[in-house]
Amino acid sequence: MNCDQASTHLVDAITGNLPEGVAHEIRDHLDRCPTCRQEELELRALWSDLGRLTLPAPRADAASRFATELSRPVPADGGSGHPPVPAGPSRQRGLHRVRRLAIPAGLAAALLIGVALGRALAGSSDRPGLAGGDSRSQFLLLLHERPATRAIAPDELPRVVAEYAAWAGALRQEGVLVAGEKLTDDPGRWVVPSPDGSHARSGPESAAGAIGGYFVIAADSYDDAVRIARECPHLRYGGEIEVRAIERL
Amino acid sequence: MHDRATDSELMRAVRDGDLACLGQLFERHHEKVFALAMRMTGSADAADDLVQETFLRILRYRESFRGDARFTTWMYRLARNVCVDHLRASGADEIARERWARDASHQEARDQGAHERLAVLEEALRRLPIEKREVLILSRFHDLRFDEIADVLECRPGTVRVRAHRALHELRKLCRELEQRDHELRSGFDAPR
Repeated sequence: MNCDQASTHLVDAITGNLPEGVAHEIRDHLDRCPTCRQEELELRALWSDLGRLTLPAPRADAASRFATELSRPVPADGGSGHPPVPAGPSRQRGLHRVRRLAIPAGLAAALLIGVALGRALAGSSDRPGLAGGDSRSQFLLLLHERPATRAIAPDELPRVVAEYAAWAGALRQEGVLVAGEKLTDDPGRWVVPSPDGSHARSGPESAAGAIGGYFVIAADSYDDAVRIARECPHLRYGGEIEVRAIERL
Repeated sequence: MHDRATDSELMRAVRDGDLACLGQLFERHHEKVFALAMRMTGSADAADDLVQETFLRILRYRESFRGDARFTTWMYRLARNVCVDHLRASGADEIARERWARDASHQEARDQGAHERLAVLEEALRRLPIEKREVLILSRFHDLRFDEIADVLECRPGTVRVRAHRALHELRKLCRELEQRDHELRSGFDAPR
């Protein structure tokens, strides 16, 4: 291997892209060539220093801001379905483009529940479950939708997201939250018996009464589970919560 | 969708209509997108907006996500395009580079000594042309291999390799020039009147 070849492979090596079988050759060359060895030291120091550069954190309200943008009404000239003309860097122009997306009503509400769950359950390997010695029972909280549940003004969304996230996050910290899922917004399927065997048909047309999501929590009793459910932001926005004990087999 | 679902499973769910999963993807990855945008633009305000724009593009173009593709590669491709669109739209990159060059606060930071080398390096990184800067950023700060970066940039791995090689050498050259400039400035200030 000559110096030109070594120089090329040096960047491969430093960036972790060295092809197999070349490492031995380049090491041999560096042992013999002080110029290339100096080059290696300088570039490795540069690479190492790059890793020490720091960054500010993104805005803490990034998720709620995103939900807010999705919830904004589509303007009269928007929602045509055509790709937008690329906008300039101006924040206002960029956000105007956002509003051209024809987002179905209620999407933002679904998103914020997803954000709250994602935040609360992130890094689930240490998520609290019921250990063998835990005497608590598990309860299912079914979040029923009502028309009023979705009547959240765009300006309210950041606060609502924060409330859901704070509630779910606190439960997780306390070892109460076991699981949670947001259900899709379609009516689902109903499986009913028939003389020819069970078959599925579409769920109810109205979203009223539909189940938007669920949480599984650990609690000592029904009273304890109801106490926890009463704190859920879902109630404050017109939803209802069904609490059911899960039978231990 | 289960919280242990993979990124691709979540994105497939988004594509198939379960838009709540986008919230989980946002939580998992918006800091990575912010870091990329921040390194590309040098502006936290711009990076915050570009995070929003990236995830809106993810939503808008969800149908184009291939189920067998790695989500982060696809996400980085969209994020990188959002950044490049932003930089090129009105010469924002040139403006930022010029502003950076004359920004007294950076000069001040270098003068403090302890952070001098890193402040110089940060400025040098900002001065690299986009096509070189983005390769270094994706490799160093996002741990992508050359073949993965090639997928993001939609070019050949060999092209990425050449750009990385040139970028690292140009970065070193820029650092030397900036250090020399600072040295001369300090010498000028210290000279007897």
